[in-house]
This record gives sequence, C-alpha cells and structure tokens, in this order.
Amino acid sequence: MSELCFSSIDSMAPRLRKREVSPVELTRAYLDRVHALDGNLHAYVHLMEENAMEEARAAEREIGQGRYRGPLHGVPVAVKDQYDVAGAPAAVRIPQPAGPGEDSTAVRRLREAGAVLLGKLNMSGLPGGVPAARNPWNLDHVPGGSSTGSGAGIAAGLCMGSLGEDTAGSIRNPASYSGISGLKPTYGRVSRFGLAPLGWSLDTVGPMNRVVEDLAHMLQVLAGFDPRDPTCSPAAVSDYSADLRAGVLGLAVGVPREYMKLIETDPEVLRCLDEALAALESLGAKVWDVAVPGMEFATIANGLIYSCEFYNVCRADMAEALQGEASESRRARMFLGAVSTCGDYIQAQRMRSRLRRELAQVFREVHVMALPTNPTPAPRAGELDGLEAVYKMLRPDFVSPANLAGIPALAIPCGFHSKGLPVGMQLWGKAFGESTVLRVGYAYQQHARWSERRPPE
Amino acid sequence: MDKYTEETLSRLLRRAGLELAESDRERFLPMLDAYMESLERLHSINLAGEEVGGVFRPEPGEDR
Repeated sequence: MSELCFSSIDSMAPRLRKREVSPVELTRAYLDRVHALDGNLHAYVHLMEENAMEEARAAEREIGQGRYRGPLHGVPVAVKDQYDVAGAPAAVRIPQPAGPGEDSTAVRRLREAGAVLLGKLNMSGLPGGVPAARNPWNLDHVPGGSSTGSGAGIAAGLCMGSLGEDTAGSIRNPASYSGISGLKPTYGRVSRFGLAPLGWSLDTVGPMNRVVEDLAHMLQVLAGFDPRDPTCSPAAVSDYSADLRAGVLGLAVGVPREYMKLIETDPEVLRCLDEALAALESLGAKVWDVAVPGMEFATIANGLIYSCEFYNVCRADMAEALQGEASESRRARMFLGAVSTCGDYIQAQRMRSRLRRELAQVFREVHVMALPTNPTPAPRAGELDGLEAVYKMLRPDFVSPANLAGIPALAIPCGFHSKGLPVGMQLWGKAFGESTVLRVGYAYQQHARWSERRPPE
Repeated sequence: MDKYTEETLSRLLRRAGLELAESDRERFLPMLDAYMESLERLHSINLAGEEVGGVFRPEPGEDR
C-alpha cells in the first residue's frame, strides 16, 4: 500500500495509462491510508470517499476505453479547504455557501483532467473545534501554514497531489516544514475563481507535491486564462515539462545575502542552503550575490495589504467572522486592517511597484534567485503565540517579497536539521518564468534526492 | 506616529464595525503599537515616482 501512495504522478501516469495499476486500486489505497493515519495527522477536514470511488471507477472505464486524458487521469488529489468544491462544505467561508455551490476553477480543471478528488484538506485559521494538522516527521511539530493539510497530506502519502494557496508564504511554509515541494506561481497565472479570498491582490493558487515534475504536471492543468477571475492573465501557457530535464549548465543563480542578514536564521538552515548552492555550481550553474534593497520593506508592505484586504473581505459578515470561535490571528489581522488608512495601503502598493522594478532588473542578470524558505525547521505545536503569525509580518521574512512582487516561487527540500526535521529552500523566477524555476528545482532535486526520504510511520 | 489611546482605538474600531473585547485588549494593544512603528518605517521611504498597480494587470475577457 505504501509503495503506491508514495509514487509520483510522473511515474504513476504511464502505469495507469497502460492499465498496470487501476485508478480504483490506487484510490482505495489512499483512502485506506487516510483511515489508518489521519486520526493523528488531521490533514483532512472533509473526506469525499463515495465521490472519490465513483470518480475512480469512471477513470478506470475511460482509460479502459482508450479515452486517456493525460497525466492526472485517475490520480487521487485533495485540495485545501479554501477551494470551493461542489457538494462539499467550506469551513473557511464566512458565511457558509448556501446550497451545493459549484467547483472553483482550479478544482474544475483538475476534474476535467481526470483527477480523483479525495477530499478537502485542513488549513490554519479555521474556526475552533477543527483539530490542527500535525507534521508527519514529528507529530509534536506543526506542518506549516496556512496550507497545513496540503503539506502534511503529501508528506504522509495521503494524496498524490494537492492544492495549496499562498498569500504570504502559505504554500512554501508547509512545503518547507513538511519536506515536500510547493509552487507559488505568478499572480494571475492560475484562476482564483471559487477560492475563498484572504487578500484579493495577493492570493495565488498553486500545487503541492512530493517532486518537482509533479508540480509541472499539476500546473499544466491549472494554468490559463479564466474570464471569471478579472486578474487572471491571458498570457500563453508554457509546456512546463518540456525543459524540465535540460539541466542548469550556464544558468545564473542570484543569492540575496545582504537581505538574508536581516533575518535571524538557524545556522543549520544556512548550511543546507550553502550546500545546495554548491550542488548547483557542481551541476554547472553560476552563483553570485544580488542586492534588492526593497525587500527590506516587503514583508510589512505585504502584511499591510493582506490585512486591509482581509478586513474588507470579512467586513460584510463581521459578526460571524468575529464569533468567539474565530482564531485569534484572524481577528488580529482584521483589527490591523481596520485601523490602517488609505495612505498606508497606497504606500504599501507603491512599495510593491518599487520591488517589482528592482526584481525585474535582477532577473535581467540571473535566471533564478535562491534563498531559504524559513529561518528554522518546523516549530513545536503550541510553541508559537496565537498572534505570532501577525507579529511575523512586522519583520522581514523569506517568503513575502515574492507575494508582493507577484513572481513565481518554488519551495523544495534542501536537507535535514539535526532535530530530524526537513529544511527547505526557495527558487524565485521572473514573472511567468515558472519553467525556469521548475527546471532548476528539478536539477537540484535529482542531484540531492531529499524527496526520496519518507517520514516515520 | 503617536501610540493609540484605548479611546481613540475604540472609536476607530467602532467606525469599522469592530469591537475590542476586554479579553483582547492586553494582547492586541502592544501588537498595534508594534504595527504602527512598522508603518512609520514604511512611510519613511521615499517612493516618489512609484505608481500604484505595477504588479496588478487585470485583462478583460472576451465579450460574449
């Protein structure tokens, strides 16, 4: 059962196509594993067992009839609670949607590609009463948020692919803490239609998987224009697998060392990053330092925009949003948004323009930037104050600048801390440069092979 | 930037449709002070010449 559940989409797709493995058998294996393990992990908030088996049987029939749809056909996936799924509840929605609703565009595209939807995954900030997800590498630790269940679920082999959402690192934090890969695409690359908003101008839909090649398969299905999201880009969609295996010979990697000095970082995390950079150099990449002065103010600017937009997202239903069971961080963010002025918001937007320009200049000189994802491995559950997520936005971090600038950011494992917990690094690219960050990430992954490690059971 | 007094803060929050519960005061007020200090630093940057919306490029869909 484990072997099937820790397979990649890339390796499983040909076996499904050739009918060596049945979608029904695969889906049953995942559901059995969820029943066996999720009582401790709490990755799922809503399991769609009957629906999943029905979709698996349909996939089996279609593949048997020669109507193969592509690499996601028959592949069991799950999505963060933040996505609307027809017929499923959405705890994060305030108020709850009336009636059965409809699929978000991202979910619809997964279904159209033949994926089997196992259920909805946990996230931080849900109303009280929902147990928090735990880190499969050590259940005493958090898996990283806010896409907590998406990170824990992939790491523990409870789904083959998942959707996260990234407003201020919410795909990359759990990818790093849980030892998996996650991609925050360019803002506007994937439709936000049907995604419960946190910050309209920041929210980004993205895949989370064990390996980089699976991110490419997922993004291929998700990316593309959608008239139902006014910020969705009409830019042509690349073939994200085409250059994946082209290597990094001659590519330039920029490291924002001066910025990194502003963030107190565990020396073991810095060692893992340096070893990863040395590995990229050994594969033929050139590595040098780059300066991006605007990054120093990116986290507070991003946090301010997030708070202001989140307050306004919740405003119409404030009474429900502020009910006693709303998380403390959720209420605190609303308070900060409420007391901010339009002058504050506009200054943050101007900072965004500055940062975007500075980064565009840097990406004329380098193909990608590399930096840590988090300054430490996953903290123990309960170690951080309930307001820590809000305090964090007041000081520079490694993830927010990519949100503010809207650029693609890949998080991949780059080692293990002596505590036995995964450490991650990020690769940033220019806007719509997903193919390049995936290419560099894949080259490093194949060299380092951290993705082959599994959490204890 | 001056620190918010509780009264000023309560007035601002009431205008925004919010109310600071007694249990929140002790924890949220220091957080708000820290936030205001961060905003002050953000406002200290000269961003003359930077327009708003450089990242945000909505495109219209096709008319149907």
